[in-house]
Amino acid sequence: MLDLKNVTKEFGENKAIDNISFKVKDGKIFGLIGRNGAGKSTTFRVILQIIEQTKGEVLYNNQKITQDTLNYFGYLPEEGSLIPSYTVLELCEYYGTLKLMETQEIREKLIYWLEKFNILEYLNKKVKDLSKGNRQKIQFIVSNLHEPDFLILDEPFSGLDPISVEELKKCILELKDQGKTIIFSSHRMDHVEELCDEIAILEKGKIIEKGSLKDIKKKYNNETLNQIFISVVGEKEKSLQS
Amino acid sequence: MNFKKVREIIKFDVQKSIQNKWFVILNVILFIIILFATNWSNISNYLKEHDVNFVNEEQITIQILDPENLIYDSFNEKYGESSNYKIEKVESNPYSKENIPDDNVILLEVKSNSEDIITAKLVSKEGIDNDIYDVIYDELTEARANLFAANHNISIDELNTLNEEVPVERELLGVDAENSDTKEVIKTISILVVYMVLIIILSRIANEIAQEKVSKSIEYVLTSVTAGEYLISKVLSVTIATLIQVLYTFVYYIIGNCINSLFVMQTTGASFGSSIVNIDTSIVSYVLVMAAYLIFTVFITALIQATLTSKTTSVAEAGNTTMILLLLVVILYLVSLSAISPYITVTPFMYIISCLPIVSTFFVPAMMIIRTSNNIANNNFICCFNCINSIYL
Repeated sequence: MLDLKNVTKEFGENKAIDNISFKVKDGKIFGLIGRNGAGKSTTFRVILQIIEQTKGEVLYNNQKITQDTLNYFGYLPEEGSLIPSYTVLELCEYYGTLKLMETQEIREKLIYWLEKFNILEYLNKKVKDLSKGNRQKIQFIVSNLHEPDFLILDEPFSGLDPISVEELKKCILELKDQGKTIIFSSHRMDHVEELCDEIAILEKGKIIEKGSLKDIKKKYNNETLNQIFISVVGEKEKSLQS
Repeated sequence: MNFKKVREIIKFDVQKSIQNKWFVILNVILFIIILFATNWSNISNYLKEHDVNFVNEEQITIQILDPENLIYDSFNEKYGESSNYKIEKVESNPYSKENIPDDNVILLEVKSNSEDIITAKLVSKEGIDNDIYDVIYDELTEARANLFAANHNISIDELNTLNEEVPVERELLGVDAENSDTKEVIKTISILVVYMVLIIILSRIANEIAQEKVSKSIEYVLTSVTAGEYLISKVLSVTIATLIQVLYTFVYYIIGNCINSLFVMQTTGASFGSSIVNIDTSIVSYVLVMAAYLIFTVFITALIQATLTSKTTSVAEAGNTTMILLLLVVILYLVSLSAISPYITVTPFMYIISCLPIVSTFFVPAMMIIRTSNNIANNNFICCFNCINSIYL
């Protein structure tokens, strides 16, 4: 289980995340939603210790996250995190090596995932020659290559066509069935509604609503998540203005 | 520090640098160039023997305007029969902007003068080939010497003796002074090698780190290794790849020299062993210390480059940091070349700056020539140990 306790991250005088706390239970899908600049990506970076929190604690299975613990995490960053001059194979070999995987194992798993997404022909293509959608699929494959227990997906559906979105959703649900824990962010509330067990809504670095999707929907008279998001964020904005 | 991960990254990066077609192409070209360079005397002899000439030798007409007959007779005597030159005596200079001479025509006007003894003027359409200029210049020099000797009533031999440099023999009696000329050459070449290696390594490190940083792939990398492990891996992998290239180049040089020795052996009858190299142990130890300092300097400079690059936000900015470091290296290179020599006394200032990392690469091996570097070398190895220790911690 991932447990964030009163985590704050400051950049100078600016608080990117402000005293946030939430738990992600094993085997569940957790949705972190919010507007642009709400602090979703910063939260993920803090969880992965790419940047250190200013205050608070991040625990995984009741222990502080270390470099060794991070081997159990898979990460799909929001912006293109692929080295353009590498081929798909070279890139996966590089990232797989960082997770101490054997070359043969990397190749086998890569071919499995490329076949799953019907893009095996891109094995030896350079990243810079791929479309945005295919790059996103490769990013997803890279984050899964070492079969992590915990997946962090920052805007995983960004740049994907409707068919690819469905393929990716199917993959995420399959991973959940295999017992993996997933936390992801998205602007598409229908995707969150379809996939998530629990959610947290972030606004200007603060969590303004969190809980199980069922409970939140019940609280807001079974409105769609899109309507709930607009009303919760709108109310918060009004209270801040007043 | 997770050494297994660091080792794996280095292994991957080095393999990627070496196992690609550009590395192979570069090495094939380098091998051919070194082979030609080390055997150039043999190749040029072969071409001369077989009358192969790459130069288009068109006949040049040299028109000489020489009313006092200072050089015409001598010039005509030497080159009048040559197929390369046609010598003509003229009474005036007909050429001007409106009347430009043909491509293969040169007018040489010669006059005597009380101050300079002889003055000359060359008129042609374009610049004159160096070989032709040398022929004319030699003739003018000879004519001036003759005129001067005649005017001062001395012989040409006496004049030539007067013009020769005073012979000064330098005898260095210290043990480390043996082969000092060879060591001086090694110093100059090795400092140049350090500089070249640094250019390659620093720009590669800056480029690789900046590319990963700009593409945000660093975020993925940092979920697997710490920033320190990442920087050390990058520095070591690029350094190792470059040193492998240096080693290959050295091997090509040895092969080229062996082939050259075989040619020499065939033509002079000398034994293969003696014709390759007559090794002096002090030079070997000198080269070994130089190599140790090269590796040390490359490592420390690369580490500085990696740290600086990690603070940048674009490839262009990373390039600027490389330029600053290289500028520093160029200054050190020039200072060390001019400051260190067996014939210049080492000042306390030089001792102080020689104890600094990086600077020591340029100064210490050179100071070994004058046997003043033992303490500095010890200091630097301690410094190196401390640097590695602090990185580890």
